[in-house]
Amino acid sequence: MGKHETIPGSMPGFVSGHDFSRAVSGAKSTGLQPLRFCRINQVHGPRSAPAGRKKEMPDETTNAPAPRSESRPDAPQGRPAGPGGRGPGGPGGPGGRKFFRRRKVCKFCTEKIDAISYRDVRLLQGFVAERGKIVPRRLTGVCTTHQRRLAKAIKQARNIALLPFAAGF
Amino acid sequence: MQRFYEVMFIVRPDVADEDLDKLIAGLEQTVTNGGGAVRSTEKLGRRKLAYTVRKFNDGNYILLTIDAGGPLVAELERRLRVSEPVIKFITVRMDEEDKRLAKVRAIRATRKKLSAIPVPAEPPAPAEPASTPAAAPAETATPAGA
Repeated sequence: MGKHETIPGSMPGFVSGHDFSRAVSGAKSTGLQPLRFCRINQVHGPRSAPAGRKKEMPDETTNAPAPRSESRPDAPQGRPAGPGGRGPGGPGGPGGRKFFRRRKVCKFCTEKIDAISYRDVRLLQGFVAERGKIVPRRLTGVCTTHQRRLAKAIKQARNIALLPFAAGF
Repeated sequence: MQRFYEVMFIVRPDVADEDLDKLIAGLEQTVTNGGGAVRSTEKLGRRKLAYTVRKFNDGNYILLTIDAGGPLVAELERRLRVSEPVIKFITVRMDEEDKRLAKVRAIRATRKKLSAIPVPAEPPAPAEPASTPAAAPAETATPAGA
């Protein structure tokens, strides 16, 4: 238990004793901290430990212990992939796992666009990739209802040759 | 019961203007004969098609908004399918969508009015009925403009 005290950023409020003991036993290679802390310790320069940890804190208090313990066995393999995936995932934005961390907002909700018609090609083209595929909503940030309507409109537009089915090559 | 439909069709680019007008007139006639009403006819002009249709790369787009019953729409589609200059068509039912949009706008109008009211309770009663008819023409303008 002394090990976590060495890191200045660790919140006293975070620790619930039983989680931590499991953490210490579970964490393998560095043996220092549970999964989240391990990841931050592993990456030294670019992502400064305190900054990273502050991001983790609220999530760890809110997350249930069970998911963390499941991910801990992955710790040795997962860790190299972790910072690479989650680092850009955090500020970059499409986000999925964490809470709305600067998540893109649905364009239709903010601009209060009610009707998505198959006729306004310009609007629809913003949601279609260059090959003509419909862009998934995790990339565009569109909410579910509007994504469904958008997809319907795009398919109607494709049928009437306003948008291509497959473009490029 | 009359439903509101949008029929968009593409006419091949090599038809003359008069033939095009004749074709449109014929379709409108079909609608009115069948007991429907034509709300509007729009010629969207010649556009490049996103893919080749019957060996054509561009076509004349025409949009027809009609009030019609179901069987009449089937008849209209049959005519479109059979007519040689028309290369593609799509019929979209818009009445449910319109109802939903009207509902959303009505809700939005009442919400705005409530927030605009300073303190006295009287203005809301005349303001709300006044707002919905005032809002309605503005709202009907937007789908046409969309």
